Amino acid sequence: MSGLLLPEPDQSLLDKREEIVLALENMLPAGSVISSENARRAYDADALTAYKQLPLVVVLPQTTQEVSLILAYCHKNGIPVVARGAGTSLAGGALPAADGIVLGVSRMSKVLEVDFDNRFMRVEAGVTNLNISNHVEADGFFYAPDPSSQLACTIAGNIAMNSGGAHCLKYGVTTNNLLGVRIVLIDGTIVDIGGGHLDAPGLDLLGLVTGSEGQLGIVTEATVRILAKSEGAKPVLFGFQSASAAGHCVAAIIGAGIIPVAIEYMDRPAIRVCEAYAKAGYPLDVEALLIIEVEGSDPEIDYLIDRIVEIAADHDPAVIKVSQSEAESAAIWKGRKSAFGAMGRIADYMCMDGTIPTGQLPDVLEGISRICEKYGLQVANIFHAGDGNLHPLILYNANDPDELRKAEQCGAEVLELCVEVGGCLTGEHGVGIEKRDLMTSQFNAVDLAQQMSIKSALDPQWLLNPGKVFPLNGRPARAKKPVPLQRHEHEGAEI
Amino acid sequence: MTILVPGSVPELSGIISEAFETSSPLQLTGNNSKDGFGHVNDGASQVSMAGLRGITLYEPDELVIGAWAGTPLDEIEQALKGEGQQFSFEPMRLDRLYGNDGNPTIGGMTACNLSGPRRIQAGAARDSLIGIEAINGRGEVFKSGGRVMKNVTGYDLVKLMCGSLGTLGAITQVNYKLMPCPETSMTLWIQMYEAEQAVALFHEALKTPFDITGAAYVSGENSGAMLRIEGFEASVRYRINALKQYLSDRLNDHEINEFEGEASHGLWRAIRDVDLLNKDVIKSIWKISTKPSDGARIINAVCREMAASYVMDWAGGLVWLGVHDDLHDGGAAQIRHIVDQLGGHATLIKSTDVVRRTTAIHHPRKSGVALIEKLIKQRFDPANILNPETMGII
Repeated sequence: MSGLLLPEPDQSLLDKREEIVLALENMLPAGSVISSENARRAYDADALTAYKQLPLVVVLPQTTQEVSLILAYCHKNGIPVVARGAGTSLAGGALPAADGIVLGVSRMSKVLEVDFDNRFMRVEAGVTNLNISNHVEADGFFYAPDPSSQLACTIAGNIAMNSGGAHCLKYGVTTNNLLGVRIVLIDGTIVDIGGGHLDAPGLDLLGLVTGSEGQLGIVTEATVRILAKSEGAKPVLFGFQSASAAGHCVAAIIGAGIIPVAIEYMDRPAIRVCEAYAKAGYPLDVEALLIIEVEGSDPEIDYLIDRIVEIAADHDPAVIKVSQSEAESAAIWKGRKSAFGAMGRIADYMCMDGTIPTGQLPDVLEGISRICEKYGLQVANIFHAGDGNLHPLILYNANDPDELRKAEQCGAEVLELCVEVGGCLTGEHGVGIEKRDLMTSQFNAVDLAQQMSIKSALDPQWLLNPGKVFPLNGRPARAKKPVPLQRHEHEGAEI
Repeated sequence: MTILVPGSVPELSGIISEAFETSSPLQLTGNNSKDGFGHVNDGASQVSMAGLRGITLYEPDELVIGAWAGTPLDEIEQALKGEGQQFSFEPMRLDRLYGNDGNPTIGGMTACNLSGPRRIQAGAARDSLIGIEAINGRGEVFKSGGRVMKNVTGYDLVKLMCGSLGTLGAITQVNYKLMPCPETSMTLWIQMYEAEQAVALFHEALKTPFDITGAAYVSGENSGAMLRIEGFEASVRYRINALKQYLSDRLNDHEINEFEGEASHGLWRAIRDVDLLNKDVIKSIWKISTKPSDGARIINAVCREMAASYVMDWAGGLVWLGVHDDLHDGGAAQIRHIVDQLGGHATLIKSTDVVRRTTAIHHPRKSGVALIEKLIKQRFDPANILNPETMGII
């Protein structure tokens, strides 16, 4: 365990553990409560594996009503609650609290409604991202946000972190593809926000909930937009001998009015590892690789690729390779989407997630190399070049506590560099625990106070995912006793 | 009435702090181009953002623009045009509808979360807004988001502020992401006399892969459904033909016309700005947001109860309703009853001062949502001085 701290656990809750387990077992169907230490171990970390914390108990509710009962109980008894989707957060968003419960939504995984005429789906929050698309694929539809972890990650986690993906350059991120949620507030109140129409009345609460990292309530259902698939798609690969040539090429393509569905970037170390893993046909002797994907009918794809190739030619590409088959396209994407996993086979890594103005790309890449060199650590860069969302992977040895600390400091400096050039700490992974203490580099005290005031308003005791997002210093005093938000009632609204 | 026009953020912050100390309500405005919308806020001092003006950032290669809230939309759109770029959400203009010559500002566009026909494909202003600076009801300056298009750092106050109608803070600066202007825009106009028929057509058209960026229906003399496709010329021609073929196989004897270039733009500008309801015979105008499949049902149910004209946009999901009858509530009770049964919400966009004083402009929210709105309003504006009552948050 390194420097990041969670709030001091409440000893009285730790002492009451058995009582809490019993109360939960009494209110939920058999098999919903996981209390043995061995079974709880499966929930002690998410994909930020450097941090582990055994929770008091884990509950796996199957209905919104059950979630409401659990939260009302926790609210009354001052017990922290960490919501968990599939545990794929790279930011430690689902890291448990020692004195709190983990509420997993994995057993709420039903598709509730598919409406092709109105182009939406209503699903339970534990449905995986990929299953949403798979469910409607045969009918020619898909759900657009596609995080690399889409095979495992849930829509609940996507909403909590406002997840993106490789194709959000054209289609936007979670917040742009969400129409409604059913959310349970800390006192058990069930609220429906939005629905099958494009915008909800009043304040944009849906926008606020999306990306609030499970701190304002627990989402149990989601209404998402589904879109008709394009006729086809095709990636083209470009290899460049410098990061700067690749960066200028991206700017020139966008400057020409072309918005491809994806522009992905990999540097030399990343290319080698991904190619070894996926056999995607990536060129190995270049400094920078761009994967650019366009969509449409065959003639439209050919036209766009011709234009892109023409523009790229001005930037001296060493390699131009247009995918020649479905299989080749799939391999190209497999290499990119399995990049994190492939990297994990050769070393431990910290995956950074800053975003920068795209014009700063070459300078920032140079800066990242300099910072990593200073710490004596290797780095591989993989990112969404069209929108400036960087994923430097800082390689280190997790068994060496000294190296973990160095990697964290190195990562922090990289993110501070992103903020310095006009970018931000996190583009799509969320703040979680990982970037919590860096928030002051992007926000001043008033900015943070305004955000935290919303947390205090909706969760006065700060019970929902309490250790995350905001630095522990500078938090408002939290209410010691439960403050009712309103009497419990489900308004039974239709979605 | 005096209008305060602060020329700097500290000056505006001072005005709001003082109003907070004395619990004096403020009505935040831009250039008053939307004067005629919302509650009549008697007794509030007007504060205009028009003094905070100018483009602060424009990086065409990065598809991002930033400006002070009081910057006229015309000035911004002129700059974008010079680089062949635009706001993807096609912001509507309301000045003509209200009979104002005020020059709409980017701050007003943001506070109202305006969009246009391309909403169905590219989202609303809230989907393109990437950063804000604002002053809360205590006079404190805060920011959220930034100038990059992917940013999940902290709570998304950008979305919350967008469309909040100045009830949570005075927006001082905004940053938006942009899109290139399409090379070509073409529209299919399909003669049609029933709203239901049009909705059925939209359902079919939007299941195709042709990336439709506008789907609207107008009734009356030139009754018809319109479908728009945009992009590179060769691609647009291909998709328009493919779509036409697809629809011809499903439609009998409907006249289909094609429009392109300025003729196409003109059709959509009229839909965007609700020009067709801008006539004397109409006493109240409503904006109804619903599931696309319910658009025609709502129209038919309302027209059974009162004389009304209408325009349908967003493939049926947006209904502009012009009520001819001179009703004491502008038709609120009947319209909202119908909308509540099907799902959605109705906002009173234009009516007489008398109706605006006595009728809820915004659709009443259900209890859970109303509670959250109230808790948030209290945290941003504890003295309830910023555009009080504007949004019906109680």
